[in-house]
Amino acid sequence: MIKAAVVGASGYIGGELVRLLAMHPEVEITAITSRRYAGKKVHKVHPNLRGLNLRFTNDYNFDADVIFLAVPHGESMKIIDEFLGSAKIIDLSADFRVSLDLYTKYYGEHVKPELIDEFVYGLPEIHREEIKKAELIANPGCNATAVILALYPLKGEVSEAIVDLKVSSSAGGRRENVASIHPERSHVVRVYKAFHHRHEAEVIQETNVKAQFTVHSVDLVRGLLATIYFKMETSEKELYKKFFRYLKEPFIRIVKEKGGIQRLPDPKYVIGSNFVDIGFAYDEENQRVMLFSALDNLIKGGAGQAVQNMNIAFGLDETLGLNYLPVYPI
Amino acid sequence: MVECPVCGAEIEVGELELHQIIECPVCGVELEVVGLDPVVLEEVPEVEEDWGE
Repeated sequence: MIKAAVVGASGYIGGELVRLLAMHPEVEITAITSRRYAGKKVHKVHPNLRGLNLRFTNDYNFDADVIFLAVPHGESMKIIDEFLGSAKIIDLSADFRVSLDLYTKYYGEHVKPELIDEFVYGLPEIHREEIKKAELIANPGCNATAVILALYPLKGEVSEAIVDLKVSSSAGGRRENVASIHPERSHVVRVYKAFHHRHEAEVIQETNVKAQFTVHSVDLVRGLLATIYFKMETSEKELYKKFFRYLKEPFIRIVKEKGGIQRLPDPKYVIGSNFVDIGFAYDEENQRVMLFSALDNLIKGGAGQAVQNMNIAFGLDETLGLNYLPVYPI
Repeated sequence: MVECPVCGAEIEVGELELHQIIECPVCGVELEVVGLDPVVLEEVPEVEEDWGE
């Protein structure tokens, strides 16, 4: 059994990690940490986890083969020295995802720049072979995962793209915020970042596409949809051929139907799963490609992808503990 | 083997009848057999969500 610890387990991503790891047949959870909730049972913070015999601790002196850092951006680089060399580390913050140049541009000062190059960017569909040998893995952002996986089959053929993102409230984390209280958050279609969203940095690094994100908060608790626009002379048939590269990927589904309830990706049909649904459309008259990518931000966009990375890094079947079909209807 | 007219995948087909509807195993599109010698497939038209409004 793999001994796993979750540092920063009181957030939504941390809670999802505990849920997925508790059901994983090859994992034993040895510690879940939270400074704020130390000593409390896990279900006091994550009511869905009632029945798990786990309590939060603030003691980092635990026994683990893998440590998940589910702390806010900027925190991982401050605490990582406590864990280096003791276990494989999967960091779910943004601290080690991108090069120092990109980090400085999009996030600001980095206090552990010497470690950045030691991390592997944990997007299995692109970096599977590196992840197999990795000790340090930077788990991608949720928006970035959706956009990169949609653009990657066209890498080298697209230089710029407009990305419209519709994201759920859980993507904003669990910190109290007046913009997130029910009267303010419900029924919104709110542009919260018109440009220069931080996840653009990951897209530039992985695809060389200068992607301009416009991010909207919408009235969902989980899930996101990325719609990506760019001009390109191609055809639907050629686009199909590009996306055939994903046919053997266990967690990518190509969704493009002419009839039925669902015709193109919609976050409604991936919730609760590690799937990312990708589809496309081509406006021949205007030579405009539209890509669509939907995922559950807490699973393929966070905890599920982290477990997928763990499986790969420990030589397990990549899908172990993640073979859940989406919840429906929600 | 016949090429799917929508996604370009090579589809293995058995004995076909004229106007038979088959499904491309790769892209999932429904295809009508509109010719037999040689086999010609066409995408089956679907009703749009707005019923053509």
